Amino acid sequence: MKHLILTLSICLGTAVCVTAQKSEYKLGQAETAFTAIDEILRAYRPATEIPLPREMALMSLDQLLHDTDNDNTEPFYSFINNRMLQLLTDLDRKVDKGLRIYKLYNDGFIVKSPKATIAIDLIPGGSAAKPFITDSIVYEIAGRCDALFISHEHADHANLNIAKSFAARGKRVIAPKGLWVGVDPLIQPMELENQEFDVEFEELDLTLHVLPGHQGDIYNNINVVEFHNEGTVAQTGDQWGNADDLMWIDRVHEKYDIDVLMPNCWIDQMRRVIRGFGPKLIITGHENELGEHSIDHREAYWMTIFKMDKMSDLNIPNVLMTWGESYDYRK
Amino acid sequence: MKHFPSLPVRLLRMGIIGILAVVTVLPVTAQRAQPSSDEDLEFWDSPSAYLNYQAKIAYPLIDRMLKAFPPAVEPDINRRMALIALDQFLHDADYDRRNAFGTFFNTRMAHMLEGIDNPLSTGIRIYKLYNSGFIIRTPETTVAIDLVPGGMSNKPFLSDSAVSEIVRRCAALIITNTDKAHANRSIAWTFAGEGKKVILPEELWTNLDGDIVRIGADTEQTIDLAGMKLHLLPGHNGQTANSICVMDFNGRGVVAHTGAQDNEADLEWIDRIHTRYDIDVLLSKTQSPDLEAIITGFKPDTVITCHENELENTFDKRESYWITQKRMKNLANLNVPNVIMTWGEAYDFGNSIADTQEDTSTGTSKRIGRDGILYIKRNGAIYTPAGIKVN
Repeated sequence: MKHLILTLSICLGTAVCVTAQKSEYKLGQAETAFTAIDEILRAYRPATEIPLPREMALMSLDQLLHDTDNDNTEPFYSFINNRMLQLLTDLDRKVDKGLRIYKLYNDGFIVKSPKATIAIDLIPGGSAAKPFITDSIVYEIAGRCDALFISHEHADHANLNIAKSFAARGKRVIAPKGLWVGVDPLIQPMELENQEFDVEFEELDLTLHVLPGHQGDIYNNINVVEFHNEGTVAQTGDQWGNADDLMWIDRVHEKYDIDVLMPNCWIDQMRRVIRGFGPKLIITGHENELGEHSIDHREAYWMTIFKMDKMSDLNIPNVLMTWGESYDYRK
Repeated sequence: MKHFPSLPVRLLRMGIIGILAVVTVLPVTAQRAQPSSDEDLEFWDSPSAYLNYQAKIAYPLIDRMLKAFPPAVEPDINRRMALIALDQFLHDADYDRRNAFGTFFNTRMAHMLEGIDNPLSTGIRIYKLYNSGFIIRTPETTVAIDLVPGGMSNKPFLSDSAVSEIVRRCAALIITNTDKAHANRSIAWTFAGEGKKVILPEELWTNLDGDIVRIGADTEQTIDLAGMKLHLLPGHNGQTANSICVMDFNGRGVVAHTGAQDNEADLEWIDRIHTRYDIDVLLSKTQSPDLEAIITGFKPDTVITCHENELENTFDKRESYWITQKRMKNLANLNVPNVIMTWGEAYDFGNSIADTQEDTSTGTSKRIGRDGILYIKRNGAIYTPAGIKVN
């Protein structure tokens, strides 16, 4: 019996030791890889043609983010916060003409024109106790934006604390029907059901056209933001699985002159949606959603490259971005 | 009263259910293993298929990066990125991922063989292979050292055809020690069978016939080979004999390979190797506990590390390229440049030194290139790297 206990103890000790070594190794590898990725991403900025080192960095990032050992580790938090700090600094850079589009976590975007800066589906990611983007950074980002538009109620697109932060600074939040009703006069869930409507922001020189999309049965605002004289962007939220919507999506290009389409990278019938919007440029969102998602649904950057490559016959350029990056678009 | 079927009937039922389950699940799994169409990559509920496909895309990308950013003394961020990406995939529990790695390794060997016949007019070209394996080429000769196939005997990384191509081009195989990470029976037999010289520890494969040179333990030996002089120094891996090879390529340069050297007592004489030989390139295993002492003892012009990512080892002992980078950075005070290479890559030493140009970087002595050959100028006299006075 003593021998058995001793043997089991040795086995357990060895297993613990090996696991600890593996864990230590992987932390070191992740730290080194994230640092190299960040350096490459800064050297090779988003563009319609992806240089080889940038593609490599994005693939390396995919690999890290599809290894659950790296979830919630210090190297990951350090990486994403560093990217957000770079974004924060860059947000102060003036836009003289056209639009500057920033990509954030999940489907979050910030679009900046010479006269306005708006955020769409801005969320911190992670858990409430340990968000990917810290409260202080989110607060600073909100401070640099003029309005927030929310596509739908899901937590990976809508965050009440961020909405409140906008409202507290006197900034409007346009939300889908039924979301955050009565929370704050400046947080404005739309009341119209399955109807298109416009919201004017005269002081920002822009018009928000809200198209009544759905994710299944859930209201999903497709936000078409027209920055007068500078360009029009459309963010599709989690548009998914609604055949009726596709009928009118097919004709969006007849009504709006879309410059930049920002679809969810795993959007249902992407080719048809792109044709419907007829954009001049595509910037996908929602890659590498971590948190509760298992690795098979953390859509990788290399998958987006693969998908967009297969749609090259549409002759619409695309720009693949990761967190904290920006791309300047001019008509 | 409830009636229970007899045991054989229950077993039969369970068997039928099991077969039905396998018949149902297998096709579904197989279907998920690949995307349903090229435009519609979907791996939902199939993480393993996702990871397999990721590896299938990643390895060729890494290969393209390595070709675009070849080995260098000061590797830029692009090359460092490629190497750490490779580390990432090789530190996956299943690094092969449905032979994605096998294809990558074969591609790396194909690159090497494509370039290996290019004329070499000066200096030394060093090819890195699996583990501590190298091929060293000068205009006069080509030798292989510690060449092993890696992988399993029934599925080696280095294919038999690649081995044949390598053997055809090499004059000799040198094996530093008996460890299978350095010595492979099949490869040694192929060399001997082709009439090529094999230099190996005396107790290894005593039935191997041919042009064989056996190295005695604890004895220093010098062997004359075509185009080179091979000095074998009596090192150890623990208590096992390990030949440290100093290969003097008759004026082209001197390359030292430390095999599996790991013995504290040997450091006493290793400390003074630089007083006997003027080493141009030191090939040393990255995980050597005495790496600093070895570099200090050899005082080479350049270090090329080896034995990274030995995939037969457990995850935590697969020495990665990024750890080598950190290690070498920590030894920066030694002022010895280093080159980190991966499988199938080549690094040229001495080719860039123009004729009669003097390089004063070595302090008390000067290195001189003449007619593509390196000489040492010391106190006004010219010597070969082996110390033979030529004027």
